[in-house]
Amino acid sequence: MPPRAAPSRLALLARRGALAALAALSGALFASCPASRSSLAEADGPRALLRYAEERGANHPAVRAADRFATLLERGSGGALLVRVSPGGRFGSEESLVEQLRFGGIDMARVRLKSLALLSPAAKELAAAGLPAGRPARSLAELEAGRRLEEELESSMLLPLAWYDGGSECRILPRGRGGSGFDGLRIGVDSSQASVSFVVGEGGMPIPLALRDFRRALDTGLVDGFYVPLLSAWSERLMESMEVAILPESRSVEVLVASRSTFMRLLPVDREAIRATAAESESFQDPYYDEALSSARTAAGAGG
Amino acid sequence: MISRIPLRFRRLFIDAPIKAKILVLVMTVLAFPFMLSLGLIRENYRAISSFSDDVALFGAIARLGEANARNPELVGAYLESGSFEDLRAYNESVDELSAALDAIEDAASDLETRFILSSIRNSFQSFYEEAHLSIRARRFASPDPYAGYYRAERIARYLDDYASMLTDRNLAASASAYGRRVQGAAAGRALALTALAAGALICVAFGIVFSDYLTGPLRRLAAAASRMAAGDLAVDPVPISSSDEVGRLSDSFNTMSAHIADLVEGLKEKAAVEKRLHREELRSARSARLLKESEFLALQARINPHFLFNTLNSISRDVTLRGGRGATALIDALSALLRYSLDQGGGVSTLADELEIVRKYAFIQDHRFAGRIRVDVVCLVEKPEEIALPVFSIQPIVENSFIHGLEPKVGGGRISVSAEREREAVVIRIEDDGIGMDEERLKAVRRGEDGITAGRHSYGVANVRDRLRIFTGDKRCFAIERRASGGVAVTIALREGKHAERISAAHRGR
Repeated sequence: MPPRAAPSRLALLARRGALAALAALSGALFASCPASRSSLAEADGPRALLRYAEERGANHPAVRAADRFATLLERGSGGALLVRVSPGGRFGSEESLVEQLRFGGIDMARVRLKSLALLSPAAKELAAAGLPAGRPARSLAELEAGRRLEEELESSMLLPLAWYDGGSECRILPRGRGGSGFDGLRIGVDSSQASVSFVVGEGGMPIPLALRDFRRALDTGLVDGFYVPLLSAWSERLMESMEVAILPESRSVEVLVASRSTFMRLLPVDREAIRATAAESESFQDPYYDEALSSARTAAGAGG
Repeated sequence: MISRIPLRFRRLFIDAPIKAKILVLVMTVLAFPFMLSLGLIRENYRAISSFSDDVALFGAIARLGEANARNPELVGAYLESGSFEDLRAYNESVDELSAALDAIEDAASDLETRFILSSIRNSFQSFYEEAHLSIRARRFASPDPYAGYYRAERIARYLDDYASMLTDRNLAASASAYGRRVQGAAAGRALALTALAAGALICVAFGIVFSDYLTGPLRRLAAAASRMAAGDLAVDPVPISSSDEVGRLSDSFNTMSAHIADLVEGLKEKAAVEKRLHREELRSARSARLLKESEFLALQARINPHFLFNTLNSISRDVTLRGGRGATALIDALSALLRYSLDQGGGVSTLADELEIVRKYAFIQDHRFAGRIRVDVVCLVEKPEEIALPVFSIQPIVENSFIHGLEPKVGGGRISVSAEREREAVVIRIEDDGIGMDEERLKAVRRGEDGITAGRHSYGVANVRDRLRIFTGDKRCFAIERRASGGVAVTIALREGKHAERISAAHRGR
């Protein structure tokens, strides 16, 4: 039998290439199979996931301010703290939010002092007094009632973190309509249950609307007037063209409340970050309110 | 596109063995369906894995919901009965809920699910603590053990809501993922079909090009081999474009065909030379044989006892009856005849000599037949002494006319010998008005069979004809036919244009 000729370079390369390609393709076959979902859970992720519930809609200035708070907190903690803002009453009314805060179903919520009245006599006291003109909401925390509020909430497993100007509850009607009630009128309200209940209580028919659509709804006759908590400055501006009746002692205060059971499980550094960002967030809402008012004016045209 | 491949790699491929080239083709052709299959397998595996994860997730959520619904009932049952069995059942349910939570967390694929899970864990922790307080209060008979139970029950309702959120969330995610997967499968199917069709076309085109590349040189080689097998040795060398087996085979074929062509050419030349030599030998042999025959005939004529007897008898009679007046001339003619036959060792004479010897012969015969047979010799050709022809080309014909044509004829006759130039030929005619010959005999003489059937004299005619044909190389140089008026006519044509060289050479040889 004659000796076999030595294989050429290409033959050797082709053999090696075939083996390498086979191995690579086999590897690719196994590597291409997806990893189980547990890998996500096992991967390094945030230290805490915090649910921030809001009764109001996603475009409400208060909710946009909450989004900004969440963003700042996540950035400030280097991604260790993730805050998910859930607007639109997905987790229920303010009363329900307070209840869920107590057992940790949600971690944070911005609620009116009135909603905390059942748990805290101090909250009831502060809500009834309203926010004196020219004073920031935070100033209430310095009061004796404010300090009691903190203690009373602590016993209910709640922790106040920030104080906000909740605006005045205004009854807005076109000039000339007069009157102090909503009897028989279609009244535009924001989507909060409290506003709806108030209008119904005043004899009106509540029509939930986005804040920016209020003026257009009025111009087209969809509504006869509004009932909306507005910042004090807004009320003053609107009084030029509208008959705005600021309810007596209606200047409300809202509090960002955290679930104590959740909060105390966090690392001290995370708790401090939350406190600092919450304090900073007390002024976040102002530009968003201004922006909403500007949008409303633009939408309503020159007379807005 | 091929020209963009670096020359080094192209040379590497061109010079590679056919086995390696085929291996490259097979790998290239197989790579496409293999990659496609790999992609489809991967997609199928992902779909199955995703479905399996979804099933596991929803199963865990269902177990979570069931355990959460049981827990308040079990706590309530314990508060009522204080039974350790109820407490154990509650603890087992708690464990089951915890396990379900862990399973959901393991299967959680998105952030929202993990947020909801966080709510559930926190809530369950609170539930557990409230339930624990109630259980402790019941165990240690503390007042109002149901306060914690009611709080726990409310938490459980929220937990149920969170579980519903979890279900909704994952149903939406699964529906979305399923929709994407269905769309992806449809797109993948279309892509696979398109890719398969395109791949098949590319593979076929590639295969045709590649097979043509491989078999093209073989076809050229086969065509060249077929031409050589058919005897065409003047094939062009097969072009060599590679150094693989076919290239080496083509190179060897070119070398072999060149050698074969050289060998065959040599053999042809050798055969031609041998054939020429053989032909020359045959001609020489035949010429020699005929010469021998002519010499034999001449010798016969020289020593023919009948001719000699008749001639001597004529001389004797002349001496006796006429006082020897004609004897001297007869003796001169006979001696000239004998001398001519003795002197023609080379076999070539001239027309002048041939005619002269005919005159001598005719003179002797005329004396013998006493004028009964007349012989006229006329030469209209200039310089007959320069026209060569075989010796004894005319006299045997004349003798034949004497013996077979006129001697049996009672009234005698006439023999006419003439030589004249007609166009490019010298034509010699020997005609007699004797008894002639029948058609059958004439055909036999023309076929050369006269020697067999006609005895000595006809043998001489055939000898003359053959010698003339060899001498002139012209088969039409000799013709014999019956004359319309009786007798036989023999025509010898010496065409100068055709035989000038031979005649001239013969003449120079004299």
